Amino acid sequence: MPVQFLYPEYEVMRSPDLCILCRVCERECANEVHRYDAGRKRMLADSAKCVNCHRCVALCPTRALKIVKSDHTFKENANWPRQSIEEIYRQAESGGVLLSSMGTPKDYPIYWDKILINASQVTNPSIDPLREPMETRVFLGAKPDSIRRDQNGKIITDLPPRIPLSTPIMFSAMSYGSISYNAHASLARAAKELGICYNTGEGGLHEDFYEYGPNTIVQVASGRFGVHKDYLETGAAIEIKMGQGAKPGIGGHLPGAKVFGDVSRTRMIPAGTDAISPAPHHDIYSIEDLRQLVFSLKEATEYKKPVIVKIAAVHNVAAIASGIARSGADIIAIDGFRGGTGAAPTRIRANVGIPIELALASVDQRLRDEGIRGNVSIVAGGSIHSSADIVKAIALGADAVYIGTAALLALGCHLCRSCQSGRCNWGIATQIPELVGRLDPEIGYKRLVNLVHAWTHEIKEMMGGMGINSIEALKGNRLMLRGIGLSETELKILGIRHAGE
Amino acid sequence: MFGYSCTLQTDTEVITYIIDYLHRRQGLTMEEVAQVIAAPFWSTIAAKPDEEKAKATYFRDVYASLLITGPFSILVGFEGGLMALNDRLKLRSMVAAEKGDMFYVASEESAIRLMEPDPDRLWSPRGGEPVIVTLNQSAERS
Amino acid sequence: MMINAKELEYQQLNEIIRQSSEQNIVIENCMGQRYIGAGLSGKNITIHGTPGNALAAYMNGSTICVFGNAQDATADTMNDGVICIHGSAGDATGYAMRGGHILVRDDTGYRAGIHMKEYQDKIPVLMIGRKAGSFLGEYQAGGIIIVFNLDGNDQPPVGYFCGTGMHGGKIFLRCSVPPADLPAQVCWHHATTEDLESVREYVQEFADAFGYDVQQLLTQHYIVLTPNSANPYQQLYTSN
Repeated sequence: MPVQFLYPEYEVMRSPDLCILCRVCERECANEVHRYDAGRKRMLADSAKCVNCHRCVALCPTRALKIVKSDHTFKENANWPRQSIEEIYRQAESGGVLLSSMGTPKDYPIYWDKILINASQVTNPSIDPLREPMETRVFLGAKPDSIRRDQNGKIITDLPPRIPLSTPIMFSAMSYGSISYNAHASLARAAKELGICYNTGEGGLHEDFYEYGPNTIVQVASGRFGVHKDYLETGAAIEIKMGQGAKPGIGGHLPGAKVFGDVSRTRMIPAGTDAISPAPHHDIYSIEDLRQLVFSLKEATEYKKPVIVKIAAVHNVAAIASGIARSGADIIAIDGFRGGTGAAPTRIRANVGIPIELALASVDQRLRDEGIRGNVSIVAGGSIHSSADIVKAIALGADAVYIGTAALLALGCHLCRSCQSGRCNWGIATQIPELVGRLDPEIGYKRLVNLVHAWTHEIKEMMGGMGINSIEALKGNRLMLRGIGLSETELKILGIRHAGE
Repeated sequence: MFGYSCTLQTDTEVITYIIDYLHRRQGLTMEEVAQVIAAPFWSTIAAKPDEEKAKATYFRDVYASLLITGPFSILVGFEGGLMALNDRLKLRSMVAAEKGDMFYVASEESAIRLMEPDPDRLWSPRGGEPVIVTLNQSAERS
Repeated sequence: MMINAKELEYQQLNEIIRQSSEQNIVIENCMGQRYIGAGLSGKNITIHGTPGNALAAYMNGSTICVFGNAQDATADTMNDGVICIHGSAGDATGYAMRGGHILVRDDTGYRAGIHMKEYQDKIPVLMIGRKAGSFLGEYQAGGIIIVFNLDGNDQPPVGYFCGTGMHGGKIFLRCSVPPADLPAQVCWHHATTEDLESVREYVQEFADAFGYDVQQLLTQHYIVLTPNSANPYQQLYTSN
């Protein structure tokens, strides 16, 4: 047996008293952790294969299973933690680039948790949202900077195209290919039921989901997969993907092995071929070029669709956003560095980009300073954990938020961060039919609807507390926020005062 | 490090100072300046004849920090002439044209055609390949 | 119908084209107007002058004939149709095109045929009469590019970095030697009779469009570039 440098980080613990040898765990695990030892009449587990996704735990009828963190340890070293050591072992073994999935788990500050929300006392009365009117509807799109009247003095009410949302939440871009048909079906159906939008990501739109067009944002990325006239015309809006928070500056690569059947048809590329999204759009090297792509899409869809430009939150995001706001785009989507991904190089994910909270605040402020905030709506994403984060995002200047990881969690994701393997036991990040079948869109869509309803109720509660009955009045209202435990610089960037001030 | 202080904080300002440094202070010709700021790739240099290879390698070593890798399309005016230059990947567009003793350069051909519908010659300079035009003696005097 | 594009903004011009019930449209005095034919189906457009960038973006089955040069990003993500350019085309000609044919009488700029794809019965074809700039067929994922090198010698009619990132499709170059800087992931061979027969109908189309003799074009020596499936791009990854 070769030398094994890596000891499993998690151990599968099975209570022999509770185990009834039903072998559900064995059937449910695509990673083949569990097996039945007929000779000894007992279940065995290979913890080294376990990704800690809890599928077996959740389906064990007698709760005989649990996954625990191994207490196996290296000699303690504050400078060389276990992860650093093991990553070197992995690379020394393989010579490969470290690849990870979902948002970075690194211990960076979460600014949402250092921001507190205001409530009314005595003055502006608080509102009971259950019994009094409370509005969460928003429209995303450019706002004209002056009114126009016809010869009779009537105001001309034509507006640039917009996306109406019943609540300021959208499901962020996740391509068909990176996630399953049933995951897309759940997102599409939930978006329709909720009166919001989901986003195709860059993998095209499956023909079955064209009926959800009014609730669909169709994405155009550098690989242009599945992009054609009907696709562009079907969506409620077109999103140009310039960047992604988890991997700013990096393109995408869906290996040929995952391109078959409907994925190949939807991307409009032959089965078995690599789907490569180059890092840049090769027709965009400047804001002027971006303008060209924005208007080529508008021309192709006769100016009926708002165009979103999605960028990763990077150091000079405010200046970039300022350029985008002048490019003719209707909406800017900013993706913070904690945003999820189906696969990204670990080092990029953990070291490139900035937190969405700081990016959002600086973009909103920059556009206001330059008098062009009305040119665009802003959508913020990249690890929105709760309704409170949404309220804070809107007060920092967002018009709406994108949720990706939270939506996947609602569908059953356990954040095992192994999407790149393509063997998602929850039927989300996989194309293996028997695994996909585990995610029932009927149940999945209801769970998404539940989540967004619950969050919307909570948003209303918080708005009510502040005495605000329309979410529009909260947008950019930073006086409703206070920082806690933040430095002067952080407060300055966020544009908020410290608690107690 | 070269004693310039930027006030505009734009890339144009930085490029201007780089050219000033290379051309005025270091005494490189404009062609040589182009070879520094839009230097050929190592793989391209490898295929060159020895003398050119030595010079290109010299520039890439000595002025390594003055290579400009992003997209740019610049016009540099100097005493008696003009240089047009694209970045080495030609990430920006550039079209040049001549008609008689007139020289035209623009991002789009249509811009040139608007001024001169029927140029004698019209071409797209290659990335990193400078187009340098100088005034005729007579024009210089007038 | 005839449209005099002089001093028309691109939005006005394209609106006239879209609203026109006529199938055949002639544009005179075209001067840099962008997005002509964007997403358009079922029309024949003849352009005199210089159409602007992103000509025929997402075009879906129209025919465009340009008497003059085309600028950059012609036929971005074109799905179907024919573009015939009696002149040269600029950078990124045929970016991500999935179907249809582009015929360029003279030269193309940088990155022609970048990320061209093919899908089922859709095989995009880009034909270039003289020479192509650097990065021809960059990221090419499908389709056929032919560079005829007319008026040229036996040297490759391309700039640097031809076929960088190529992972599908074919490139035909009329010359006797392959480009010197082909990446390891692209292989080449001297075109066989079968290779040339497989593109005869396209070459015929090119010959007809610009008055060449198809037989003469096909009896020249060509080099064929294809992705090297034995040596794929491998970024070795390690799950973490």
